[in-house]
Amino acid sequence: MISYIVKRLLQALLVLLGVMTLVFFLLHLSGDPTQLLLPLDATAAERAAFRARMGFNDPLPLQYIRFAFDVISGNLGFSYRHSAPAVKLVLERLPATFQLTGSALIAATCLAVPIGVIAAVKRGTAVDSISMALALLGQAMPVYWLGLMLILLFSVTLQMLPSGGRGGWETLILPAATLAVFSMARIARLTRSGMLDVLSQDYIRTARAAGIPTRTVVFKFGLRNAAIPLITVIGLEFGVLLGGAVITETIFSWPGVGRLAVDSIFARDYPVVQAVVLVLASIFVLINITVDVLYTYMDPRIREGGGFK
Amino acid sequence: MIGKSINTLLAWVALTGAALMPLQAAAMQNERVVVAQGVYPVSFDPHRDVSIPTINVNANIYDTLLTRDPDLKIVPSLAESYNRISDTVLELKLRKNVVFQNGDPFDAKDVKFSLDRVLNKDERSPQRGWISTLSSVDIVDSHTVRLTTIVPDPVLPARLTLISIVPKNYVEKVGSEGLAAHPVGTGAYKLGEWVRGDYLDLDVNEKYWGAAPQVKRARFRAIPDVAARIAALQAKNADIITNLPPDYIAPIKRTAGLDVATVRSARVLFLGLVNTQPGPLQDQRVRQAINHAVNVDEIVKSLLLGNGIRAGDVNGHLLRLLGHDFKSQLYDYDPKKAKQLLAEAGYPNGFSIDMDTPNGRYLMDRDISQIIAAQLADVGIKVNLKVHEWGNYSQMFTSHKTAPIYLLGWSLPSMDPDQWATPLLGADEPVSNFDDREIQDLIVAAKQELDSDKRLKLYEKLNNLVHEKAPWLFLHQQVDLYGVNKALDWKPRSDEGLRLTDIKLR
Repeated sequence: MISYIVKRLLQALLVLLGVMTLVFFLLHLSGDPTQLLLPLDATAAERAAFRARMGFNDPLPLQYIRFAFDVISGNLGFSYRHSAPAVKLVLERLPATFQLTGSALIAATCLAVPIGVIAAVKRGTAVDSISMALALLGQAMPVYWLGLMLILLFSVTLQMLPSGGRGGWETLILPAATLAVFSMARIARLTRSGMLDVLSQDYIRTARAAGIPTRTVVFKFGLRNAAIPLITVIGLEFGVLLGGAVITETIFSWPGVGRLAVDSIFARDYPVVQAVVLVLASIFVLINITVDVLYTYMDPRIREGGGFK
Repeated sequence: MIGKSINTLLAWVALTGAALMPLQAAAMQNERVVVAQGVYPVSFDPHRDVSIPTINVNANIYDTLLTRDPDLKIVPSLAESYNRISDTVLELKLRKNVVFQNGDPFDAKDVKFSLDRVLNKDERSPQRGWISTLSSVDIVDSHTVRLTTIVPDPVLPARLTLISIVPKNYVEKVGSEGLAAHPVGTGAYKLGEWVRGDYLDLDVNEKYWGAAPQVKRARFRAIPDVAARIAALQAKNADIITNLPPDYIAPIKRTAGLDVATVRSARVLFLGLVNTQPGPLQDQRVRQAINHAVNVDEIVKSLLLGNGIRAGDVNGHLLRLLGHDFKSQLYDYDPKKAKQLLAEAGYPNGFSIDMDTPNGRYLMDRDISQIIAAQLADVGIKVNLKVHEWGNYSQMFTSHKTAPIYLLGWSLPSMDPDQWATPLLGADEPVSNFDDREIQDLIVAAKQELDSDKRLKLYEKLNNLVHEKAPWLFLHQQVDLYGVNKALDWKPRSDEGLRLTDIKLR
């Protein structure tokens, strides 16, 4: 098991090296940020001098080597715009992002798994059709529209909840709900199909025939087996939400990493974009490894048959 | 069992809902004024950025030597008075008994330190160009400084309204990063709690040297999405919101307790007609024809719902904002005349040409460009319009790489007429794509004329000349719109500035 984890960690390093190279060259292909940093009336001499002092004139490979050595020594650079180290800007935003995506995902899972299970157990009935129609609606509803509708209802009309910003727990409700709806739809549909698959297995029929109560059959034998692919999906969903909650963060002016990334891309603040991508990629890779390890614990077949003990 | 769980769940939802009711936080409670801008300030180090949302926050924390009052007149701030002792030397007497928010006394060393800090190339301040005519800053005594410029510079007082004064001893001790994290100025407000990307609080500075402001506490919030910004205003989570699109005026005016504040902006929009590349635009008649071919009044009326004022020259709108009585000439909408001018210039059947426009940088920029392209097609000019993201676009137009026709909006915080003329039409300027000796000579003459009446006359002459030579398709002066809580008595400024000291409570 340990050697498996070590092997996966080494692979992760390679992945991160690739990510680092890719993000550097992609960004630098989009031009240099001098125009966006200086006032519009800056003279040509002013611009040239600024470019030279920032090191934008050096050949790209030289800039890359400098960047790579910095990263390896743990220095992700200094933001061009904010007077702060890039990595600090990213770490500052991570708690907000974790809070939002974490609560959205927990809410989504807690609601979606029971809905999926019920839909599977009551397959073909009205309950099934209604919950799956709702799931489809949830997935089809644009996040931007849903978010604004929630603000209009709960902040403008009812004046029950703040329209945005991050403060007490009450500020979390609307953005987390918006984000949860999308994931919920996906998880509910997956739970349902997973459960249907499992419930048609021979061992379930045997269990039912042996007179084991339905609850035990559904939850202990059914859900436990259906949970294996679910964990993968939930884990990956978390990774996607970390960087992909930009629209929710924008509507609710939530100070998360996604918005930092988008703002920095538009401002061509390369060190910050690089830091965001590297930090998020590291987290994503770690989640992947964790999911795989969890997987082996959940599924004895992999644990015993897979050969990595 | 499931039925029971659903009942429990519903009960929970109802309970939480009831518990939330008292949480509705009206923004005006505790007399805290909440301002929502589209973006969060870049840095609290006031020399680090040139964007309006950043300047708006820092202008409440720091003071400048001179400043502009709500009518844009240059008035004393940390400098009590100034006078020219020669064409190139300006002497400033500094205000006494002023202290920084950390208790440090303010004097000449802080002025020299601050100006030198911006001028020092190693500091990499993007504001350097704003005062690059300065050759030296000399301390005469503890409350007198002399500023020497390389050439006679009538713009210098306006330039001094832009550079914040920071405390020398403090900045030397904590460094740039320290200043950005814990700003210390002499301004009317000091920074309270802040969360980058979300909000920042400003609390009144009890040691402030000027009149005590009515607003004691304020919060600046960043709400990037315009619909969410409007919702925040309607939900009473914000008291002032910036950059309101015209189509939201009616719904906001319909909401009880809310109003829309408008102001003529210093920002002017135009389409550059490049004459530095070979092609039809080198002919003045073609450029005039383009001005006759487009119905700008209709664009302002239908797209901006009347929130724009036609422009016909380079800085006539600014002269009026600064209180001068100057009447700009305008081109009539006359497609027949446009066709006739095109025929005279040798293009009876028109021509094809490329045009570039940014998307989302200025109010309705892309839509304006699309309508213009269609109207030009009516007189035979077939426009191939390309739409660009702002970051990319700014690289193009600051390095002469745009198409021969390109859309641009222009405003600079110094509010000096020269800052519309020199960068846009001057010789060898990165943003200027029009080469005309007569215009350039007038710009240089006006830029160095120290007598303000003579200078004004030169700008009037320049505006009439620019109108005739038509280096641009003249569009409009923008009207800025703000959503405002009626509990506030506040008039917005033409320079997009937002000073909390301007706000009164009704």
